[in-house]
Amino acid sequence: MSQFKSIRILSVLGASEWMRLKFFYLIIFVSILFIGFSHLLSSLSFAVQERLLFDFGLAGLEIGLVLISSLIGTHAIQREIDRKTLLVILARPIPRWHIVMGAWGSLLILNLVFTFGFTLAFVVSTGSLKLLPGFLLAAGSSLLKALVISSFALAIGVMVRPILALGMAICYWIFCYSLPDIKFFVQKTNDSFLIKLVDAVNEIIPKFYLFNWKNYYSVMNNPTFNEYIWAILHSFAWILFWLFAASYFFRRKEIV
Amino acid sequence: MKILEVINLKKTFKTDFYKKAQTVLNNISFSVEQGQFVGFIGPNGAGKTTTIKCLLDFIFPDSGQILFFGEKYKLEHRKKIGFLPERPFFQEFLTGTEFLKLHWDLSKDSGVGFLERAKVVFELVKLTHAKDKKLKNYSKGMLQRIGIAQALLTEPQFLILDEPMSGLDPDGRILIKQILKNLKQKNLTVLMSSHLLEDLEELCDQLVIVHAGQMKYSGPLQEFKKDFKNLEEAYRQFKIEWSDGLNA
Repeated sequence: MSQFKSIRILSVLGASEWMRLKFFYLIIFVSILFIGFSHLLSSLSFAVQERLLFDFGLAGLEIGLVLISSLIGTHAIQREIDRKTLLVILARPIPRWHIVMGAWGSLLILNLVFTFGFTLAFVVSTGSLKLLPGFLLAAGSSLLKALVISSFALAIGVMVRPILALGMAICYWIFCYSLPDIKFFVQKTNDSFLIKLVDAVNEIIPKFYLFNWKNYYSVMNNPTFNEYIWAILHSFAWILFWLFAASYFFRRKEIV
Repeated sequence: MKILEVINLKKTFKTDFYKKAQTVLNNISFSVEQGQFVGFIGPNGAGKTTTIKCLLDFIFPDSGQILFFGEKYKLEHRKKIGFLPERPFFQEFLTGTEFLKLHWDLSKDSGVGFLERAKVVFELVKLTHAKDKKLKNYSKGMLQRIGIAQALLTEPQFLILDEPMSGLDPDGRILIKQILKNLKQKNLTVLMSSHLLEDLEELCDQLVIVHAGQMKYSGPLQEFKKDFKNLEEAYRQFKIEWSDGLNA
């Protein structure tokens, strides 16, 4: 059986199942609220109206993506185990890592649908269709981060309870953004051990702060091609790492 | 030909890291020959489902061996095995046909022959009228039957059924029993765990009995009940002896 056939089937199955849940619609509703709020907030300003509109709207997109990735990612496999729907699938001649890849594939579909849906809705609502490529690039950077979070959430979700994994996934997202801030404060302490520790941690976590393009400036001044390629390669290296970890731990997970 | 051979299977579970490991299977050994209908009996918590999960690689035994078709268990064997879990829960948004197609696609390289085979299994489990209904509209008995249909879909050589008749109303039970009788007539090899001794007596020719994780009997049904009126009486009598043995 073709390696990718079962992954594709499981991805589509997972995505269609999650799309039917109220949770997904709740995120869409929250995102629509974000678009509305971004308009409301921008109308309070005369000088930086567009900046507020774009910054707030794109932040809404990233929050929606992170919620989808972390909530669904941490629950994707455990939910199937709890409901016992996984048993009949595991009894089929497919290796366990296909199930992990299928779960990640469903997250990819959900994140793609959400990213394009939100970006189009936002661009139409702001009437800035000519800026669509810039918006798509900015949204793409959030999508890359969401895919890293998805693979992390899957890996942690097969190791610990989903609720704990969810907390860890959200902390991971915040941590990957805020390391330069932590570094700044640690340098103020002049503690050489802490400085070395933060430097070491900086080397082993995804650097979301280096492709934080969900803002007005990046929409108006698109990142360079090289910057974009770096962001894609950096993200996919982390995605592969976490998917490998998820597959490794799921391989020996007991489905009790 | 031996379809399944279980040799000295042992499994312990640790509920918390500070707690002592609990032995749930202790030296379980039995075998299933081709064409046999084997009943797997034991009280709740005896280790039936745990054994089945070990067989299918859902959980991993601490020691012992499981041989399918004379070989160590491998992924390819799953093509020859059909499985129905206890109290199955399926993707409710799929129709009966979509559900079977999902399992066909996960097992086979091409979709060729699916419609013909689906027609056969729908007829076998008497669900032809509901093949285009969504699973959320199926009754419990119908879900159990579609579960059997997915297990039979790829024409397995060996069927593992974990309590296929639990929680069914009398009509559902009669229907499932009839389906299982048909499978027996077709000489399909089946391992079925159940609490319903009356049904097992009708269907099985071999018995495997576990009690508190220990192997108690493995052999022909007739031999087990030869000194008794029926299986229930024999089981009740032996269970008293086994429990006394445990308490002593």
